[in-house]
Parts: sequence; C-alpha cells; structure tokens
Amino acid sequence: MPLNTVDADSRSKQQETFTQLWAREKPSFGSGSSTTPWVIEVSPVNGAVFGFVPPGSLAMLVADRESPLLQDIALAASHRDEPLLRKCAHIIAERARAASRSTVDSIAGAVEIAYHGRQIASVVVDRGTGFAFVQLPYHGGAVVPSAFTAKSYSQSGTAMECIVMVREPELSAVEKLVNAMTARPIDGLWFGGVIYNFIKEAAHDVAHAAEDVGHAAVEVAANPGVDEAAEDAGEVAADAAGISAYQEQVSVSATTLSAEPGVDELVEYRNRILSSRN
Amino acid sequence: MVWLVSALFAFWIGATIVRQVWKGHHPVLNGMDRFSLIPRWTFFAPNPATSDYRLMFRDRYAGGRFSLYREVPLGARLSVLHVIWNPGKRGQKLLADSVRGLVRSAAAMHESGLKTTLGYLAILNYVASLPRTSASEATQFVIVETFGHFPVKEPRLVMQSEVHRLG
Repeated sequence: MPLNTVDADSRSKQQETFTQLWAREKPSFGSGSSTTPWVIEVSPVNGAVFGFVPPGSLAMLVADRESPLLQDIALAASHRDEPLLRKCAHIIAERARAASRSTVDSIAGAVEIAYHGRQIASVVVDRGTGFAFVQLPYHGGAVVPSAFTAKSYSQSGTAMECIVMVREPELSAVEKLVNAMTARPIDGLWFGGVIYNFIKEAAHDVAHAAEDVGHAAVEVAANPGVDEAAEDAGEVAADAAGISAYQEQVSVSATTLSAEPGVDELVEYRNRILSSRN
Repeated sequence: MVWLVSALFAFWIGATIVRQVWKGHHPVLNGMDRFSLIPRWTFFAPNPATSDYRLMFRDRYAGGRFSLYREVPLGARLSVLHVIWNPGKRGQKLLADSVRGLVRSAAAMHESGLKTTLGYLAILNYVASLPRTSASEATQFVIVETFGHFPVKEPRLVMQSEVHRLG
C-alpha cells in the first residue's frame, strides 16, 4: 500500500496514522500558507482517460509547485491530452509504490485540504517521491469548487500545490431510479406527519388482518378443510402478536432531542428512557 | 385397471396445476384436499416474499448540498459457493427484520419514538460507519423495496429517515 494512497477499507486506520504523524511534525513546518486548489470534475466523457481516478472517488494530487507532474496533469486536463494523462497515471502508480518505503524524516511538506472549512485530508509529501496522491470515497452530488481550500506547509520554502479531481460514482439501475424518485418532493415520506400516515396504513392493514384471523377461525371451526386459510391467518395472528411483543414503550418528545440527532445521542436517550423505567 | 390409475394421476396433476393459479378457496378442491395431497408451489411458506429490501443512504456535505443516494451492499454477489458459505446474508436479514420491526413498533408508538427503536438505530449506526470523507456532516437513509431481478414495476420507497448528523 503506497503511503498516501488510501482505499476505503484501510482509510480510517491510515488517516489516524497520518493525523498522529502530522500533528507531531506540523510545528516544524511553520504556519503554512493558504491556496485554492484546482478542482477538476471528471465527467463520464473524459472518465476513460482519468483512469487513476476511479468512479466515486475524490482524488488529490499534492506536489511541489514546480513539479512537472502537477504541470503535466494541469496541461493534459486542459487540452484533454490523453497520452499525457496516461503518462501521468503511469508515474503516479509507479512512484506511489516507492512511497510505501517513506519514513517520517523524508517529509518534504504537507497540505491540509478542506471543504467548506471542514478538513478532509492531511496529505504528506515524501521528499523522494516528490508528490502525494490520495483517494477518498465520494458519493456524488454537486461539489462547489470554490469551497475547497488547501493550506500548504513546506520546509524548503517552496509552496505545495494541490489538484483535486472529483469523479461521480457509477450508479446502478436501482440507484438511478431512486435518485430520480427522490428528486421529486417527498415530504410525505419523512418521519413526522406523513410517515405517520404510512405507518397508520400499516397498522390499519394489521388491524384488518387481525379481523381476518377471527373470520378464519370461524371458518376453520365450520369447515376443518380450510387449513390454508387458517395457516395464513395464523401467520397474521403471529404478526399481530409480535407487535405487542415488540412494542417499546419509549415515548420520545421531539423537543428533547436536537434537530439532527446523531447515533450517540439517540442511543444515550434510549438508555436514559429505559433506565428510568427500571 | 391401467386406465383407472392413469385417470387418477391425470386428475391429480390437473388439480395440482389448477391449484397453482387458483388463489381463492375453491370449495371442490379444498373439500377434496383433506389429506393435503394437492401441493402449492409455495409449500411451507403460504405467503412467500416476492420482493427485496435495499438500503440506500445519502450524505449532506458541509455547505448544505446532498450527495446521491448510494446503495449499501448487504451481501456479496451470489455464487455457487454461497450455497455452502454466505455470511453476508445475515446483513440482509438484519435489514429485513429491522424494517418489519419499525412497522410493528409504529402501531403502538408515537412516531418520534421510532428513532430510538433498535431497528432504526442499528440501520443508522451501520450507515454512519460507512467510509466517507469528513466533508459529510450528516446522513440520511432510505429503505427501498424492489421486485425481482428483472423488475416489472418501479422500486417502492418504503421509508426515509430523518437527517442525522455524523461524528
């Protein structure tokens, strides 16, 4: 695994390592200077030539401002120069392998990349490799290029530059349909008023099913041959019984939770409610 | 004698075929089938599942824009090996159970209380732990019901969660 190349599985662990490493080394790199990275939105049209930016990823290339690789990518992207992009992809793949042998002492500089003020990556550049290439998962949707900022740290005094390449994920047929469906107003499906209707509808179905249980029971008594109806009704009865078994008498007042409660808040709230009942 | 036996089997096959397409309670068929000799294709599951639940999520990035809905893979692509070894199917079962659990809980709970049901929390916790950049500040999930591998009808949006902050 190259030092700065992060796949989805090992991302958290590596990010943690980089965070620790960078936190330790950062003071020796001065206060840093802010720059705006160049953002390339890789479209399906030019996706084929950006082979080193897989679908559904946000790739960041950081290098010394004078780096020929950085200049080549900028040039190739502007002119859609496919051979030059392939050459760049080859260099990235080749040199990234060498970067796996990097040590802390060989740090030439780093760039902290943020989106709308939230830091998304600390990219450390290896002196031997001369650049760093990082991939992060990206789930699509519109990004605002001007919202990216890069804070560059360098010991040599030469500022680090950053190119951000964003490539939309390739959606499955179902994903496309769901995204098209949710593009329409869907207030009705939110928890609250309308999900309530949906749930009431479900509850209504169960109530009807429970009624059917009664009818089926009468039918079975009258005619033992209707075992299938009884079987169906039995299932529904089990469902209806399951409802009462599953009921959790947790009544949460919406005002006691924050507007967008996170998992921890919800779990804590649940524990509080349950412990207060005991 | 041969003709009699042949006629009996022919009738049995005929009754079996009729039983597959006839969903109602046919008095003659039901009356004759006191020993359950006329099978249904559903065998031990009178109401077999004919749809799949899929879990999808989207993030809200810093700045307020949303990502696209992406499907959360709940199991590996099926192969012959999965007949013997398929631990991923437990994820699918967890989701299906959680969805059913939510609907059942709803019958007796205030809707805002649903957010603290184990099913809801399990799904939200799973979605919140998926790999993403820290540009994502909140997430939201939907449960979609799809019908078959070559669907003849559109997926149905079963439910959409609230937006929940991450981290």
